[in-house]
Amino acid sequence: MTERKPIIELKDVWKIYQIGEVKVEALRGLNLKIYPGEFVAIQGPSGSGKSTAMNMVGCLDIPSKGHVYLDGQDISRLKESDLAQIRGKKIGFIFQKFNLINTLSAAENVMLPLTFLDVPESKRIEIADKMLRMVELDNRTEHKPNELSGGQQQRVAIARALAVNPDIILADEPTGNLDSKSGATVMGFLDKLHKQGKTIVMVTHDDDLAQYAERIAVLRDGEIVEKINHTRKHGKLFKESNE
Amino acid sequence: MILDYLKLAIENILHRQLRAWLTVLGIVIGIAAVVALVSLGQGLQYTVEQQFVKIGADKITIQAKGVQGAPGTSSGNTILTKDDYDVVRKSSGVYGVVEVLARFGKIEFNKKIKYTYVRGLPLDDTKNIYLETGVYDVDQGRFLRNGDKNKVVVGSEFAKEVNFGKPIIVNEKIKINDKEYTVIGIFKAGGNPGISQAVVMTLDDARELYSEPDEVSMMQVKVNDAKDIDKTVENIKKDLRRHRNVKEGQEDFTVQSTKQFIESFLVVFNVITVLLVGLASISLLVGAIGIANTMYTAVLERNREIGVMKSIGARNSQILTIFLIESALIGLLGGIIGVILGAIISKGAEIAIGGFLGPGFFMVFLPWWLLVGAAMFALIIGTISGILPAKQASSLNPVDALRG
Repeated sequence: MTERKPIIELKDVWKIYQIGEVKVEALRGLNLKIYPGEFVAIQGPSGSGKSTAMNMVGCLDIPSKGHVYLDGQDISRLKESDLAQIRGKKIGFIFQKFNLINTLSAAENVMLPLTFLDVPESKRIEIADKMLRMVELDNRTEHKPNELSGGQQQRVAIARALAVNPDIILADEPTGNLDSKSGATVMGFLDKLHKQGKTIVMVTHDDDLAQYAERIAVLRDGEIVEKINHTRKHGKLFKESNE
Repeated sequence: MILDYLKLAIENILHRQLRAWLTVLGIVIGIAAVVALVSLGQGLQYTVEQQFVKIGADKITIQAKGVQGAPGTSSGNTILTKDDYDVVRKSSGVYGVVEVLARFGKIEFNKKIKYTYVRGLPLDDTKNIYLETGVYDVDQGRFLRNGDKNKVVVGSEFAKEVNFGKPIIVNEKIKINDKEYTVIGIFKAGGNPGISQAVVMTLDDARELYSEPDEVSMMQVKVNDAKDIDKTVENIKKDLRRHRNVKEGQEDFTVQSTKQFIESFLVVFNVITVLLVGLASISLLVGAIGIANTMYTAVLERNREIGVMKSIGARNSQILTIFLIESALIGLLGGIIGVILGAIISKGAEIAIGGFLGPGFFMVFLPWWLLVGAAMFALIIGTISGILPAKQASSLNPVDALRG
């Protein structure tokens, strides 16, 4: 049996910030493998380094020490423009604060990552229509973000994240700014995407939310202190073992 | 793809309309000033050149030093006399000389008094020298002729109703320094501005009126051959120096050909134009700083937006392009409005000057290259002003930018 290759691998990753004369170690030798099609949660209290970890996974930042591999390619020493291209093609972001561009309509927001990839306009419109239909917002395509509810904005953000058909979806506290009903809807979409085979990495401090994931990496002070695996039985996830 | 970025930039400008318009205003003022000054300057230059051309390439003007502008309007210490006139007449290369006496006069008509200058012109053989310039063409009535006594021809602007409550027309009587004269003609409108405001009489009448039997305010010389005009100027200077007993470089008179007039005018005029456009450029510089300031503010305000765009795949060059297009657009918008405003200002000036000196006398120049050039210049200013802010935006670290 051949060994499965991780889609993302963090190998002894350190992130050290220099704040004045003080060195802050946000990540301290982090090791994490994420395999294609997995739903992984990175969990931890604020200051634990989970956002920094997500920045590494999402190619938004490069480590001070160590290596980050995406599809086997070491991205730790790449330039920002190369990282941008990787993000544009392979990673879809969902943020806590939705981060839609306020001056653009829902459809234009969804089309934006495709614009940066130089996709022709007709194709962009077609994809945006499809994505907004998928998140059940096909009747809100021309609405600006401030004309949409929080839940609707997050669904537009999901549609935007999916527009480039990325391999990986990164969700940073995706329900943090939503009421429980809208939060459940958003998580429903993520779950659906996972079932369709997308790799999902979610950062959260919320225990309940983390239960949606197959695996949870619990961070504290820049290190993984616990890894929890779940198995899915009868449609429900059960905690299986500690690593 | 540039079209997509253009659309993004327009959306951003529309989203911050007040600030955008205030920034645009800075460029509008600068460009409008430059366009108005250049078009007025070009128009003025052309008009003056035309006036000199009308006088002719074969003409030389001689005045006592210190006399500037209209002869007789300045009281120089030295005067030229009939003896000088005779010297000039005999100079080598001279075809003929017109002697002119010009003085200020108190004009009374319709019980109102105005002051203007009165020109006395000879009616002997030399009259063709000044008549051929067309400057003294008459619109109503006729020009002076031999035997005329106490008759005057009046400038078209001076004859207008606005000066005396009713227009001066042919056969009206006017008083000059309390002496009565009959108006026999009105000069053509749109000609020489000096003549359009003047009263012209025979040289004999002028000498009698001002009791000046000897003074010559100005001489107009026609040369035998226009090609030798510079040589003739030198001959006249030499002869006058000898006659008036002055050394070279210490002349108390000026001898200038039309060509020299144009050249000396252009030198002064170009200096003034450069100075004025320089001043207008300062306002453009302020406008450019305004754009840079607006763009820096936009970068600060849109840190998070830049972070989002980067996280969804925007490359540094794409962020740079978006911000550059935005600042270029502000510049271009200011340029277009500035060009329109500048054209309106200079056309307004043309109409206003036409009101004083006669319609058609002064035409502003609004060539396509000035209009398109000014708008393009504004676009370039906008782009340059945006370079540093756009560079700052594009070089933001996505993680820092996302924090907002």
